[in-house]
Amino acid sequence: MLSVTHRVSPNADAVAAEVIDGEAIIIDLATGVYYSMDGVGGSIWALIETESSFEEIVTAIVARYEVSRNQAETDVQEFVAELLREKLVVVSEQQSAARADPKAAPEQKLPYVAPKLITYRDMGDLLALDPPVPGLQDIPWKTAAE
Amino acid sequence: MTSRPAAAFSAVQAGFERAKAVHPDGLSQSCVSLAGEIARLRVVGRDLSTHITRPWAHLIAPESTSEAPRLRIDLWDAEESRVPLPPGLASDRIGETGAVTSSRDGRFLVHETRYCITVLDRREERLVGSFEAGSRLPLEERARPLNLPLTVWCSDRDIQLVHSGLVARNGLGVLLPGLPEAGKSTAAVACAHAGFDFLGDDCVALRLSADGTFVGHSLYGSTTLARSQMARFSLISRAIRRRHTRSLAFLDQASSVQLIRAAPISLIALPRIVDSTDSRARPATKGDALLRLAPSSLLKRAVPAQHCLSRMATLVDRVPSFWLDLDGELLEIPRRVERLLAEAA
Repeated sequence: MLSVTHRVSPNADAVAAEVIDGEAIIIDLATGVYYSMDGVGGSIWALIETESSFEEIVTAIVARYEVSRNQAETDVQEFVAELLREKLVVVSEQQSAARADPKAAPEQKLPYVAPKLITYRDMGDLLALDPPVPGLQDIPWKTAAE
Repeated sequence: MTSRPAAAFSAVQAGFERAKAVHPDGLSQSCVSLAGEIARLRVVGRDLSTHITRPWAHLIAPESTSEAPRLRIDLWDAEESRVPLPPGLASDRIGETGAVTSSRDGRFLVHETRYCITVLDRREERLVGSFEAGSRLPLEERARPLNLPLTVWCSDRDIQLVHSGLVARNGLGVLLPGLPEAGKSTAAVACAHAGFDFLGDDCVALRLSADGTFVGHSLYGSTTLARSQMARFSLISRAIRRRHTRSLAFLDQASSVQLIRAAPISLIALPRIVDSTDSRARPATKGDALLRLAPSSLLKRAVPAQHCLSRMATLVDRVPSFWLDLDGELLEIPRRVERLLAEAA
């Protein structure tokens, strides 16, 4: 169970992810399974990308959506647990001061729908039948600075 | 101590020079434009040269081009030249899918399959390779030669190879992304059959211009449709060169089919198979477009995944996306794409 100080971040070694128009698209590069989440789920992922703590995630969701704190805590717990089961995120215990939410809360809160992770296994099935060439994942790439 | 990949590059390069010396009549040289960059290609072996260059017939640059080649490719046919691969290079890791090995510093990339070994020097932009026999190249290599090392080379130049078809009408490029068997190849070939310019049905290159527009580049002028699908395109069926469960055709040999090298991307049309459809243009969300474009463009590909995904996200953010419904009416596909282009304008 997540505590308020647990920080959640993407499993950067295993996934590639983008948030576009509030929808998060995540691809597990090892298994070929890919995911999408929009609405509240997309908002949670955007916060995860900034390595927010559980407390910060819940606070931001309550500020943005019409949801009670108790409900938000329950749903975020369950959602992050699902992301952990799918190995899309990692959790760390980092003691640091709470950061102010850089985005101003909307004047009018948005309707709340519980976050939902949509899973696509078609490419994963194809990968299982026809795996990638060994060694592809080990190719070094230049960084943007280089 | 020289790494194995570096030693492999030296050995394969030396093998090419020896093949060139003992079989000078078998040497051919050409320049091709790959995603807007000039590559100089030298091949020892007539069959090998024929098959390697065939999908690039529409990309051949004039011999007199003053532009210095960005990439230099040297290949030789071990059987025709009777110069075997240097001993000790065969890896015990080669299975059905081949194997990739990088030097620790990332400079050299070795790709080994059952029928060839290629080594890419990423710093000097040189690609050397030895093929067991040009006359026995498998269908996939004839359709999209050197695909893996060229994917890496393109990625190093910030050129993204995507799993998508690409056609153009009046200079406006239409990207047709999709998972395997989604209908993108069929849609691309159907459009080419109807007079669209053809740039690719499965693998195309994307470059981001300085002004923020995306330009799609043709990499291969080939298509490998299922035999049943190919039979429905009369103009193209005459260009079939290999028949198996999938047929290989080179579209520059199909009458009335025009191949071009590049076009700015104006529309993303997402093929999806439906039972029936009407003529309405249905916009797709950016998320839908990214879900159709990204997974098969990243998985099993030699690409920097996060960077490529970010670049694709920029593409779908800037270019409108629509659903392209496919209900089995091949003649309707190009008409629907025309309507989508009008809608996107």
